[in-house]
Amino acid sequence: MKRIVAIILVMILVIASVGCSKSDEETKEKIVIAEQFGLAYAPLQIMKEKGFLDESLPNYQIEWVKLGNTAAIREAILADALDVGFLGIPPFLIGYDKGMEWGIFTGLSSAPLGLVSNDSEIKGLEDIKRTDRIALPQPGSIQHILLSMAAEKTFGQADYFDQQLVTMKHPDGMNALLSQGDVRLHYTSPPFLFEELKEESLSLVVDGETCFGGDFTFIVGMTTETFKEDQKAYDALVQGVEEAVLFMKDHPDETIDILSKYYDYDLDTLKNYVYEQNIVYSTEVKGLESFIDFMTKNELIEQPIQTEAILW
Amino acid sequence: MVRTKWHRLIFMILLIVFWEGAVQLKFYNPALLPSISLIIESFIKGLISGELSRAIFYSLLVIAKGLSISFAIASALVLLSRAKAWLDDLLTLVMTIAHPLPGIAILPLVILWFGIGEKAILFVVVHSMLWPIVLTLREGVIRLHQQYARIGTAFNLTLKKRIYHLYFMGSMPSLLTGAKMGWSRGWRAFISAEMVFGIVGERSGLGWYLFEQRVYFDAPGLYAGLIAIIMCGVLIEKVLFEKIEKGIGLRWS
Repeated sequence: MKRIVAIILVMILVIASVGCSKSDEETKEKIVIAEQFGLAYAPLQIMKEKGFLDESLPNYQIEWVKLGNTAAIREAILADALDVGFLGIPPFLIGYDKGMEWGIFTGLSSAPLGLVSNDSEIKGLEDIKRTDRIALPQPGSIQHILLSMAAEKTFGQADYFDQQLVTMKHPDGMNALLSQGDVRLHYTSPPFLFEELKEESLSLVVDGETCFGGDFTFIVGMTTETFKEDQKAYDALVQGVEEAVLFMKDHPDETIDILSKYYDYDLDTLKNYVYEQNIVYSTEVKGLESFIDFMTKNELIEQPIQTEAILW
Repeated sequence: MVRTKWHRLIFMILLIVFWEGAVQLKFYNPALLPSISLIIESFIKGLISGELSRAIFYSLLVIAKGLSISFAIASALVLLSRAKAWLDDLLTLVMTIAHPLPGIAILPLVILWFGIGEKAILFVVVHSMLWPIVLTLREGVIRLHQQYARIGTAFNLTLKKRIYHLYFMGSMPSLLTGAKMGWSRGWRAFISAEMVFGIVGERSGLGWYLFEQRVYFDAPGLYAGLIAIIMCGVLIEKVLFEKIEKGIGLRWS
Protein backbone atom coordinates (compact mmCIF):
# COMPACT_ATOMS: atom_id res chain seq x y z
CA MET A 1 0.00 0.00 0.00
CA LYS A 2 2.82 2.37 0.85
CA ARG A 3 4.29 1.81 -2.59
CA ILE A 4 1.03 2.60 -4.28
CA VAL A 5 0.80 5.82 -2.37
CA ALA A 6 4.37 6.59 -3.37
CA ILE A 7 3.61 5.98 -7.02
CA ILE A 8 0.56 8.22 -6.89
CA LEU A 9 2.58 10.95 -5.19
CA VAL A 10 5.33 10.77 -7.80
CA MET A 11 2.82 10.99 -10.63
CA ILE A 12 1.06 13.97 -9.11
CA LEU A 13 4.41 15.65 -8.62
CA VAL A 14 5.45 15.03 -12.20
CA ILE A 15 2.23 16.34 -13.69
CA ALA A 16 2.13 19.30 -11.35
CA SER A 17 5.72 20.27 -12.06
CA VAL A 18 5.19 20.13 -15.82
CA GLY A 19 2.06 22.21 -15.42
CA CYS A 20 3.85 24.77 -13.26
CA SER A 21 6.84 25.19 -15.50
CA LYS A 22 4.45 25.88 -18.35
CA SER A 23 2.67 28.70 -16.61
CA ASP A 24 5.98 30.16 -15.49
CA GLU A 25 7.04 30.66 -19.06
CA GLU A 26 4.03 32.76 -19.88
CA THR A 27 5.69 35.95 -18.77
CA LYS A 28 3.84 38.63 -20.65
CA GLU A 29 6.62 41.08 -21.25
CA LYS A 30 8.60 38.84 -23.54
CA ILE A 31 8.08 38.13 -27.24
CA VAL A 32 9.96 35.22 -28.72
CA ILE A 33 10.33 35.20 -32.50
CA ALA A 34 11.82 32.42 -34.59
CA GLU A 35 14.31 33.55 -37.15
CA GLN A 36 15.16 31.42 -40.15
CA PHE A 37 17.93 31.39 -42.69
CA GLY A 38 17.12 32.14 -46.32
CA LEU A 39 16.74 35.24 -48.46
CA ALA A 40 12.97 34.94 -48.31
CA TYR A 41 13.23 35.82 -44.61
CA ALA A 42 15.27 38.99 -45.23
CA PRO A 43 12.66 41.42 -43.78
CA LEU A 44 13.07 39.62 -40.44
CA GLN A 45 16.75 40.39 -40.30
CA ILE A 46 16.00 44.02 -41.19
CA MET A 47 13.34 44.19 -38.51
CA LYS A 48 15.72 42.72 -35.97
CA GLU A 49 18.73 44.89 -36.83
CA LYS A 50 16.74 48.11 -37.18
CA GLY A 51 14.98 47.37 -33.92
CA PHE A 52 11.51 48.24 -35.24
CA LEU A 53 9.83 46.14 -32.59
CA ASP A 54 12.01 47.33 -29.75
CA GLU A 55 11.11 50.88 -30.75
CA SER A 56 7.36 50.42 -30.73
CA LEU A 57 7.30 48.10 -27.72
CA PRO A 58 9.78 49.54 -25.23
CA ASN A 59 8.28 47.56 -22.35
CA TYR A 60 8.77 44.25 -24.05
CA GLN A 61 11.81 42.13 -24.33
CA ILE A 62 12.18 40.84 -27.89
CA GLU A 63 13.99 37.56 -28.15
CA TRP A 64 15.09 36.04 -31.45
CA VAL A 65 15.72 32.31 -31.60
CA LYS A 66 16.94 30.05 -34.37
CA LEU A 67 15.06 26.81 -34.93
CA GLY A 68 16.02 23.97 -37.23
CA ASN A 69 12.89 23.48 -39.27
CA THR A 70 9.17 24.09 -39.44
CA ALA A 71 8.35 21.07 -37.29
CA ALA A 72 10.51 22.58 -34.56
CA ILE A 73 8.62 25.87 -34.87
CA ARG A 74 5.28 24.14 -34.38
CA GLU A 75 6.60 22.18 -31.43
CA ALA A 76 8.08 25.30 -29.82
CA ILE A 77 4.78 27.16 -30.21
CA LEU A 78 2.86 24.29 -28.64
CA ALA A 79 5.35 24.16 -25.79
CA ASP A 80 4.73 27.87 -25.25
CA ALA A 81 8.36 28.64 -25.92
CA LEU A 82 7.67 30.68 -29.05
CA ASP A 83 5.19 33.42 -29.98
CA VAL A 84 5.91 34.22 -33.60
CA GLY A 85 7.22 32.11 -36.47
CA PHE A 86 7.67 32.41 -40.21
CA LEU A 87 7.14 29.46 -42.49
CA GLY A 88 5.59 28.14 -45.68
CA ILE A 89 1.81 27.94 -45.97
CA PRO A 90 1.54 24.09 -46.04
CA PRO A 91 3.27 23.40 -42.70
CA PHE A 92 1.15 26.13 -41.16
CA LEU A 93 -2.02 24.46 -42.48
CA ILE A 94 -0.95 21.05 -41.16
CA GLY A 95 -0.51 22.52 -37.69
CA TYR A 96 -3.85 24.32 -37.83
CA ASP A 97 -5.58 21.16 -38.98
CA LYS A 98 -4.17 19.27 -36.01
CA GLY A 99 -5.67 21.71 -33.57
CA MET A 100 -3.08 24.46 -33.16
CA GLU A 101 -4.66 27.78 -32.37
CA TRP A 102 -2.72 30.06 -34.64
CA GLY A 103 -3.20 32.26 -37.65
CA ILE A 104 -1.43 34.16 -40.40
CA PHE A 105 -0.84 37.79 -39.49
CA THR A 106 1.18 38.74 -42.53
CA GLY A 107 2.73 37.58 -45.74
CA LEU A 108 6.49 38.00 -45.98
CA SER A 109 7.72 37.08 -49.41
CA SER A 110 7.18 35.34 -52.70
CA ALA A 111 10.22 33.75 -54.24
CA PRO A 112 11.20 31.60 -57.15
CA LEU A 113 11.45 27.99 -56.01
CA GLY A 114 12.45 25.13 -58.23
CA LEU A 115 13.36 21.54 -58.81
CA VAL A 116 17.00 21.30 -59.90
CA SER A 117 18.66 18.26 -61.41
CA ASN A 118 22.26 17.22 -61.97
CA ASP A 119 21.30 15.04 -64.91
CA SER A 120 21.00 16.93 -68.19
CA GLU A 121 18.78 14.13 -69.50
CA ILE A 122 16.05 15.15 -67.09
CA LYS A 123 14.10 17.90 -68.79
CA GLY A 124 10.70 17.32 -67.25
CA LEU A 125 9.05 15.28 -64.52
CA GLU A 126 8.40 12.39 -66.91
CA ASP A 127 12.17 11.93 -67.36
CA ILE A 128 12.69 11.22 -63.67
CA LYS A 129 13.46 7.56 -63.07
CA ARG A 130 12.01 5.63 -60.14
CA THR A 131 15.49 5.20 -58.72
CA ASP A 132 16.37 8.91 -58.81
CA ARG A 133 16.33 10.41 -55.35
CA ILE A 134 14.76 13.80 -54.75
CA ALA A 135 16.10 15.88 -51.87
CA LEU A 136 13.85 18.40 -50.14
CA PRO A 137 13.54 19.84 -46.61
CA GLN A 138 10.88 17.40 -45.39
CA PRO A 139 7.53 15.83 -46.26
CA GLY A 140 4.76 18.35 -45.81
CA SER A 141 7.06 21.28 -46.60
CA ILE A 142 6.09 23.76 -49.28
CA GLN A 143 8.69 22.19 -51.57
CA HIS A 144 7.08 18.79 -51.12
CA ILE A 145 3.59 20.15 -51.75
CA LEU A 146 4.72 21.96 -54.91
CA LEU A 147 6.33 18.75 -56.16
CA SER A 148 3.13 16.85 -55.40
CA MET A 149 1.10 19.47 -57.28
CA ALA A 150 3.34 19.03 -60.32
CA ALA A 151 3.16 15.24 -60.00
CA GLU A 152 -0.61 15.42 -59.94
CA LYS A 153 -0.62 17.53 -63.10
CA THR A 154 1.81 15.23 -64.91
CA PHE A 155 0.84 11.77 -63.67
CA GLY A 156 -2.54 12.36 -62.09
CA GLN A 157 -1.10 11.11 -58.83
CA ALA A 158 0.04 13.57 -56.17
CA ASP A 159 2.12 11.08 -54.17
CA TYR A 160 3.90 9.80 -57.28
CA PHE A 161 7.38 10.72 -55.98
CA ASP A 162 6.81 10.12 -52.26
CA GLN A 163 8.89 6.94 -52.21
CA GLN A 164 11.88 8.74 -53.71
CA LEU A 165 12.22 11.59 -51.26
CA VAL A 166 15.24 12.26 -49.11
CA THR A 167 14.94 14.73 -46.28
CA MET A 168 17.83 17.17 -46.42
CA LYS A 169 18.48 20.71 -45.34
CA HIS A 170 19.09 23.00 -48.31
CA PRO A 171 22.91 23.14 -48.04
CA ASP A 172 23.11 19.35 -47.71
CA GLY A 173 20.81 18.91 -50.68
CA MET A 174 23.00 21.19 -52.75
CA ASN A 175 26.12 19.25 -51.79
CA ALA A 176 24.39 15.98 -52.56
CA LEU A 177 23.50 17.24 -56.05
CA LEU A 178 27.03 18.43 -56.72
CA SER A 179 28.59 15.17 -55.52
CA GLN A 180 26.65 13.29 -58.22
CA GLY A 181 25.55 10.51 -55.87
CA ASP A 182 22.11 8.94 -55.58
CA VAL A 183 20.45 12.33 -55.27
CA ARG A 184 19.54 13.43 -58.76
CA LEU A 185 17.15 16.24 -57.89
CA HIS A 186 16.74 18.92 -55.27
CA TYR A 187 13.65 21.03 -54.66
CA THR A 188 15.02 24.22 -53.20
CA SER A 189 14.62 27.92 -52.61
CA PRO A 190 16.84 31.05 -52.70
CA PRO A 191 19.73 31.57 -52.16
CA PHE A 192 20.43 27.87 -52.78
CA LEU A 193 18.38 27.86 -55.97
CA PHE A 194 20.42 30.74 -57.35
CA GLU A 195 23.69 29.12 -56.35
CA GLU A 196 22.72 25.81 -57.92
CA LEU A 197 21.60 27.35 -61.18
CA LYS A 198 25.00 29.00 -61.50
CA GLU A 199 26.59 25.56 -61.74
CA GLU A 200 27.00 24.28 -65.25
CA SER A 201 26.25 20.69 -64.29
CA LEU A 202 22.88 21.61 -62.76
CA SER A 203 19.70 22.69 -64.51
CA LEU A 204 16.16 23.66 -63.60
CA VAL A 205 13.54 20.98 -64.26
CA VAL A 206 10.44 22.86 -63.18
CA ASP A 207 9.88 26.05 -61.22
CA GLY A 208 7.51 26.62 -58.32
CA GLU A 209 5.08 28.83 -60.20
CA THR A 210 4.56 26.17 -62.87
CA CYS A 211 4.00 23.54 -60.20
CA PHE A 212 1.51 25.76 -58.41
CA GLY A 213 -0.10 27.16 -61.51
CA GLY A 214 0.33 30.82 -60.60
CA ASP A 215 1.64 33.23 -57.99
CA PHE A 216 1.85 32.20 -54.38
CA THR A 217 3.31 33.50 -51.17
CA PHE A 218 6.32 31.50 -50.08
CA ILE A 219 6.71 32.60 -46.47
CA VAL A 220 3.99 33.81 -44.12
CA GLY A 221 4.21 35.06 -40.56
CA MET A 222 2.08 33.38 -37.96
CA THR A 223 1.33 33.78 -34.31
CA THR A 224 -0.94 32.32 -31.66
CA GLU A 225 -4.41 33.39 -30.59
CA THR A 226 -3.03 34.10 -27.15
CA PHE A 227 -0.52 36.54 -28.58
CA LYS A 228 -3.17 38.18 -30.73
CA GLU A 229 -5.13 39.06 -27.61
CA ASP A 230 -2.36 41.47 -26.65
CA GLN A 231 -3.59 44.03 -29.17
CA LYS A 232 -0.69 46.44 -28.69
CA ALA A 233 2.01 43.86 -29.24
CA TYR A 234 0.11 42.30 -32.12
CA ASP A 235 -0.31 45.63 -33.92
CA ALA A 236 3.35 46.44 -33.39
CA LEU A 237 4.31 43.10 -34.87
CA VAL A 238 2.18 43.57 -37.99
CA GLN A 239 3.53 47.08 -38.36
CA GLY A 240 7.11 45.98 -37.78
CA VAL A 241 6.99 43.59 -40.72
CA GLU A 242 5.39 46.25 -42.92
CA GLU A 243 8.04 48.73 -41.91
CA ALA A 244 10.80 46.26 -42.71
CA VAL A 245 9.37 45.49 -46.15
CA LEU A 246 9.09 49.22 -46.90
CA PHE A 247 12.58 49.84 -45.61
CA MET A 248 13.96 47.25 -47.99
CA LYS A 249 12.28 49.04 -50.90
CA ASP A 250 13.46 52.49 -49.91
CA HIS A 251 16.97 51.80 -48.67
CA PRO A 252 18.54 49.12 -50.85
CA ASP A 253 22.12 49.98 -49.92
CA GLU A 254 21.59 49.87 -46.19
CA THR A 255 19.50 46.72 -46.61
CA ILE A 256 22.33 44.95 -48.40
CA ASP A 257 24.74 46.20 -45.79
CA ILE A 258 22.66 44.69 -43.00
CA LEU A 259 22.00 41.44 -44.83
CA SER A 260 25.67 40.93 -45.62
CA LYS A 261 26.12 40.21 -41.91
CA TYR A 262 23.83 37.23 -42.28
CA TYR A 263 24.53 35.98 -45.78
CA ASP A 264 28.05 35.24 -46.75
CA TYR A 265 28.06 36.62 -50.29
CA ASP A 266 29.86 39.60 -51.75
CA LEU A 267 27.73 42.73 -51.88
CA ASP A 268 27.04 42.64 -55.63
CA THR A 269 25.87 39.05 -55.56
CA LEU A 270 23.70 39.73 -52.56
CA LYS A 271 22.19 42.79 -54.21
CA ASN A 272 21.50 40.77 -57.30
CA TYR A 273 19.83 38.00 -55.27
CA VAL A 274 17.68 40.29 -53.19
CA TYR A 275 16.60 42.79 -55.82
CA GLU A 276 17.03 41.30 -59.27
CA GLN A 277 15.93 37.68 -59.06
CA ASN A 278 12.20 37.97 -58.58
CA ILE A 279 11.99 37.68 -54.84
CA VAL A 280 9.05 39.88 -53.93
CA TYR A 281 8.83 41.09 -50.35
CA SER A 282 5.22 41.86 -49.57
CA THR A 283 2.77 41.50 -46.71
CA GLU A 284 0.10 40.28 -49.08
CA VAL A 285 -0.82 36.58 -48.84
CA LYS A 286 -1.43 34.87 -52.16
CA GLY A 287 -2.44 31.33 -53.06
CA LEU A 288 -3.78 30.33 -49.65
CA GLU A 289 -6.98 28.85 -51.08
CA SER A 290 -5.22 26.76 -53.69
CA PHE A 291 -2.99 25.25 -51.00
CA ILE A 292 -6.04 24.49 -48.84
CA ASP A 293 -7.89 22.92 -51.77
CA PHE A 294 -4.99 20.77 -52.86
CA MET A 295 -4.10 19.60 -49.38
CA THR A 296 -7.73 18.86 -48.51
CA LYS A 297 -8.17 16.88 -51.71
CA ASN A 298 -5.06 14.82 -50.98
CA GLU A 299 -5.99 14.26 -47.35
CA LEU A 300 -3.02 16.14 -45.95
CA ILE A 301 -5.56 18.13 -43.99
CA GLU A 302 -8.70 16.51 -42.67
CA GLN A 303 -10.94 19.32 -41.50
CA PRO A 304 -12.43 21.97 -43.76
CA ILE A 305 -10.50 25.21 -43.31
CA GLN A 306 -12.00 28.65 -43.95
CA THR A 307 -9.51 31.24 -45.13
CA GLU A 308 -11.20 33.93 -43.01
CA ALA A 309 -10.46 31.91 -39.88
CA ILE A 310 -6.74 31.69 -40.48
CA LEU A 311 -5.93 34.90 -42.35
CA TRP A 312 -6.07 37.59 -39.69
CA MET B 1 5.90 -12.70 -7.66
CA VAL B 2 2.17 -12.19 -7.45
CA ARG B 3 2.70 -8.99 -5.50
CA THR B 4 4.94 -7.53 -8.21
CA LYS B 5 2.33 -8.24 -10.85
CA TRP B 6 -0.32 -6.45 -8.84
CA HIS B 7 1.91 -3.45 -8.66
CA ARG B 8 2.40 -3.49 -12.37
CA LEU B 9 -1.30 -3.69 -13.03
CA ILE B 10 -2.06 -0.84 -10.66
CA PHE B 11 0.72 1.24 -12.16
CA MET B 12 -0.63 0.75 -15.68
CA ILE B 13 -4.18 1.54 -14.62
CA LEU B 14 -3.03 4.67 -12.81
CA LEU B 15 -1.02 5.74 -15.82
CA ILE B 16 -4.08 5.36 -18.05
CA VAL B 17 -6.34 7.13 -15.55
CA PHE B 18 -3.96 10.06 -15.17
CA TRP B 19 -3.43 10.23 -18.91
CA GLU B 20 -7.11 10.23 -19.78
CA GLY B 21 -7.82 12.55 -16.88
CA ALA B 22 -5.33 15.09 -18.22
CA VAL B 23 -6.86 14.73 -21.68
CA GLN B 24 -10.45 15.12 -20.49
CA LEU B 25 -9.63 18.10 -18.30
CA LYS B 26 -7.93 19.65 -21.34
CA PHE B 27 -4.82 20.07 -19.26
CA TYR B 28 -2.75 20.10 -22.42
CA ASN B 29 -3.42 20.87 -26.06
CA PRO B 30 -4.68 17.68 -27.75
CA ALA B 31 -1.85 18.02 -30.23
CA LEU B 32 0.49 17.44 -27.28
CA LEU B 33 -1.41 14.78 -25.41
CA PRO B 34 -4.00 12.93 -27.50
CA SER B 35 -6.46 10.60 -25.83
CA ILE B 36 -5.53 6.94 -25.52
CA SER B 37 -8.40 5.79 -27.70
CA LEU B 38 -7.09 8.02 -30.53
CA ILE B 39 -3.63 6.53 -30.14
CA ILE B 40 -4.94 2.97 -30.24
CA GLU B 41 -7.09 3.86 -33.21
CA SER B 42 -4.08 5.28 -35.02
CA PHE B 43 -2.03 2.20 -34.11
CA ILE B 44 -4.62 -0.22 -35.46
CA LYS B 45 -5.23 1.91 -38.55
CA GLY B 46 -1.51 1.92 -39.22
CA LEU B 47 -1.35 -1.85 -38.87
CA ILE B 48 -4.28 -2.43 -41.18
CA SER B 49 -3.33 0.11 -43.82
CA GLY B 50 0.10 -1.48 -43.87
CA GLU B 51 2.00 1.73 -43.26
CA LEU B 52 2.94 0.81 -39.71
CA SER B 53 3.09 -2.95 -40.20
CA ARG B 54 5.44 -2.54 -43.15
CA ALA B 55 7.62 -0.22 -41.08
CA ILE B 56 7.75 -2.79 -38.27
CA PHE B 57 8.50 -5.63 -40.64
CA TYR B 58 11.20 -3.72 -42.46
CA SER B 59 12.84 -2.59 -39.21
CA LEU B 60 13.03 -6.15 -37.94
CA LEU B 61 14.29 -7.31 -41.33
CA VAL B 62 17.14 -4.80 -41.28
CA ILE B 63 18.05 -5.86 -37.75
CA ALA B 64 17.97 -9.53 -38.71
CA LYS B 65 20.18 -8.84 -41.72
CA GLY B 66 22.50 -6.76 -39.59
CA LEU B 67 22.76 -9.49 -36.97
CA SER B 68 23.58 -12.21 -39.50
CA ILE B 69 26.22 -10.10 -41.20
CA SER B 70 27.69 -9.04 -37.87
CA PHE B 71 27.88 -12.61 -36.62
CA ALA B 72 29.51 -13.81 -39.82
CA ILE B 73 32.15 -11.08 -39.63
CA ALA B 74 32.60 -11.45 -35.88
CA SER B 75 33.13 -15.23 -36.09
CA ALA B 76 35.69 -14.79 -38.84
CA LEU B 77 37.51 -12.10 -36.89
CA VAL B 78 37.56 -14.09 -33.66
CA LEU B 79 38.74 -17.27 -35.42
CA LEU B 80 41.52 -15.29 -37.07
CA SER B 81 42.49 -13.66 -33.83
CA ARG B 82 42.90 -17.06 -32.18
CA ALA B 83 45.34 -18.13 -34.88
CA LYS B 84 48.11 -15.60 -34.22
CA ALA B 85 48.84 -13.41 -31.27
CA TRP B 86 49.63 -10.37 -33.41
CA LEU B 87 46.26 -10.72 -35.17
CA ASP B 88 44.56 -10.73 -31.80
CA ASP B 89 46.49 -7.62 -30.86
CA LEU B 90 45.40 -5.92 -34.07
CA LEU B 91 41.79 -6.86 -33.44
CA THR B 92 41.99 -5.40 -29.96
CA LEU B 93 43.41 -2.22 -31.43
CA VAL B 94 40.67 -1.93 -34.07
CA MET B 95 38.05 -2.56 -31.40
CA THR B 96 39.50 0.11 -29.18
CA ILE B 97 39.21 2.56 -32.05
CA ALA B 98 35.81 1.54 -33.41
CA HIS B 99 33.87 0.50 -30.34
CA PRO B 100 33.34 3.95 -28.80
CA LEU B 101 32.02 5.39 -32.08
CA PRO B 102 28.21 5.49 -32.02
CA GLY B 103 26.68 4.34 -35.29
CA ILE B 104 24.86 7.59 -35.80
CA ALA B 105 28.14 9.52 -35.56
CA ILE B 106 29.60 7.83 -38.61
CA LEU B 107 26.45 8.17 -40.71
CA PRO B 108 27.49 11.39 -42.49
CA LEU B 109 30.68 9.66 -43.55
CA VAL B 110 28.84 6.51 -44.55
CA ILE B 111 26.51 8.54 -46.77
CA LEU B 112 29.51 9.94 -48.58
CA TRP B 113 30.84 6.44 -49.16
CA PHE B 114 27.73 4.42 -49.82
CA GLY B 115 25.19 7.02 -50.80
CA ILE B 116 21.79 7.04 -49.24
CA GLY B 117 19.72 3.94 -48.98
CA GLU B 118 19.69 0.54 -47.42
CA LYS B 119 23.42 -0.01 -47.80
CA ALA B 120 24.26 3.04 -45.71
CA ILE B 121 21.74 2.16 -43.02
CA LEU B 122 22.90 -1.44 -42.94
CA PHE B 123 26.50 -0.32 -42.57
CA VAL B 124 25.61 1.81 -39.57
CA VAL B 125 23.60 -1.02 -38.02
CA VAL B 126 26.39 -3.55 -38.56
CA HIS B 127 28.94 -1.14 -37.13
CA SER B 128 26.82 -0.70 -34.01
CA MET B 129 26.35 -4.45 -33.57
CA LEU B 130 29.68 -5.83 -34.65
CA TRP B 131 32.03 -4.59 -31.93
CA PRO B 132 30.05 -5.66 -28.88
CA ILE B 133 29.52 -9.03 -30.55
CA VAL B 134 33.23 -9.44 -31.32
CA LEU B 135 34.04 -8.46 -27.77
CA THR B 136 31.76 -10.98 -26.08
CA LEU B 137 32.57 -13.70 -28.61
CA ARG B 138 36.30 -13.26 -28.14
CA GLU B 139 36.00 -13.32 -24.38
CA GLY B 140 33.83 -16.42 -24.58
CA VAL B 141 36.31 -18.22 -26.76
CA ILE B 142 39.24 -17.30 -24.52
CA ARG B 143 37.34 -18.58 -21.50
CA LEU B 144 36.50 -21.78 -23.34
CA HIS B 145 40.05 -22.21 -24.42
CA GLN B 146 41.27 -22.03 -20.85
CA GLN B 147 38.64 -24.51 -19.73
CA TYR B 148 38.57 -27.01 -22.53
CA ALA B 149 41.83 -26.79 -24.43
CA ARG B 150 43.18 -29.82 -22.66
CA ILE B 151 40.13 -31.90 -23.52
CA GLY B 152 40.80 -31.22 -27.18
CA THR B 153 44.37 -32.37 -26.81
CA ALA B 154 43.58 -35.31 -24.55
CA PHE B 155 40.90 -36.70 -26.86
CA ASN B 156 42.92 -35.83 -29.91
CA LEU B 157 40.02 -34.03 -31.60
CA THR B 158 40.29 -32.86 -35.20
CA LEU B 159 40.17 -29.14 -35.88
CA LYS B 160 36.66 -29.46 -37.32
CA LYS B 161 35.36 -31.18 -34.24
CA ARG B 162 37.15 -28.76 -32.00
CA ILE B 163 35.58 -25.78 -33.76
CA TYR B 164 32.09 -27.22 -33.67
CA HIS B 165 31.90 -29.05 -30.37
CA LEU B 166 34.16 -26.94 -28.26
CA TYR B 167 34.18 -23.50 -29.73
CA PHE B 168 30.80 -23.18 -31.39
CA MET B 169 28.66 -25.06 -28.88
CA GLY B 170 30.76 -23.75 -26.03
CA SER B 171 30.40 -20.17 -27.14
CA MET B 172 26.61 -20.32 -27.34
CA PRO B 173 26.11 -18.37 -24.11
CA SER B 174 28.45 -15.60 -25.26
CA LEU B 175 26.83 -15.69 -28.70
CA LEU B 176 23.56 -14.99 -26.98
CA THR B 177 24.98 -12.21 -24.85
CA GLY B 178 26.52 -10.77 -28.00
CA ALA B 179 23.25 -11.05 -29.88
CA LYS B 180 21.43 -9.24 -27.09
CA MET B 181 23.93 -6.41 -27.00
CA GLY B 182 24.10 -6.29 -30.77
CA TRP B 183 20.35 -6.17 -31.05
CA SER B 184 19.87 -3.37 -28.58
CA ARG B 185 22.63 -1.23 -30.05
CA GLY B 186 21.64 -1.92 -33.65
CA TRP B 187 17.98 -1.23 -32.94
CA ARG B 188 18.75 2.15 -31.41
CA ALA B 189 21.18 3.04 -34.19
CA PHE B 190 18.69 2.08 -36.88
CA ILE B 191 15.85 4.12 -35.47
CA SER B 192 17.94 7.18 -34.80
CA ALA B 193 19.65 7.00 -38.20
CA GLU B 194 16.30 7.01 -39.97
CA MET B 195 15.02 9.84 -37.81
CA VAL B 196 18.01 12.11 -37.87
CA PHE B 197 18.94 11.79 -41.50
CA GLY B 198 15.51 11.18 -42.88
CA ILE B 199 16.64 8.47 -45.18
CA VAL B 200 13.84 6.78 -46.98
CA GLY B 201 13.88 4.32 -49.82
CA GLU B 202 11.42 2.00 -51.43
CA ARG B 203 10.97 0.72 -47.92
CA SER B 204 11.40 2.45 -44.62
CA GLY B 205 11.30 1.54 -40.98
CA LEU B 206 9.99 2.81 -37.69
CA GLY B 207 12.42 5.72 -37.42
CA TRP B 208 11.11 7.20 -40.64
CA TYR B 209 7.55 6.44 -39.53
CA LEU B 210 8.12 8.55 -36.43
CA PHE B 211 9.74 11.29 -38.46
CA GLU B 212 6.80 11.36 -40.84
CA GLN B 213 4.32 11.61 -38.00
CA ARG B 214 6.37 14.50 -36.68
CA VAL B 215 6.45 16.50 -39.92
CA TYR B 216 2.74 15.88 -40.47
CA PHE B 217 2.17 16.82 -36.86
CA ASP B 218 0.20 13.70 -36.09
CA ALA B 219 0.46 13.24 -32.32
CA PRO B 220 -1.61 10.01 -32.08
CA GLY B 221 0.53 8.58 -34.89
CA LEU B 222 3.67 9.60 -33.04
CA TYR B 223 2.57 7.77 -29.91
CA ALA B 224 1.46 4.79 -32.02
CA GLY B 225 4.96 4.63 -33.50
CA LEU B 226 6.47 4.69 -30.03
CA ILE B 227 4.18 1.86 -28.95
CA ALA B 228 5.32 -0.16 -31.95
CA ILE B 229 8.95 0.41 -31.03
CA ILE B 230 8.33 -0.60 -27.42
CA MET B 231 6.41 -3.68 -28.50
CA CYS B 232 9.17 -4.82 -30.83
CA GLY B 233 11.70 -4.32 -28.06
CA VAL B 234 9.69 -6.23 -25.47
CA LEU B 235 8.89 -9.01 -27.92
CA ILE B 236 12.50 -9.57 -28.83
CA GLU B 237 14.18 -8.94 -25.51
CA LYS B 238 11.65 -10.52 -23.18
CA VAL B 239 10.14 -13.21 -25.35
CA LEU B 240 12.60 -14.29 -28.01
CA PHE B 241 15.88 -13.98 -26.11
CA GLU B 242 14.48 -15.33 -22.87
CA LYS B 243 13.14 -18.36 -24.69
CA ILE B 244 16.46 -19.05 -26.36
CA GLU B 245 18.23 -18.51 -23.08
CA LYS B 246 16.04 -21.07 -21.38
CA GLY B 247 16.65 -23.54 -24.18
CA ILE B 248 20.39 -23.16 -23.89
CA GLY B 249 20.29 -22.98 -20.13
CA LEU B 250 18.91 -26.50 -19.98
CA ARG B 251 21.87 -27.83 -21.84
CA TRP B 252 24.53 -25.79 -20.18
CA SER B 253 23.64 -25.70 -16.57
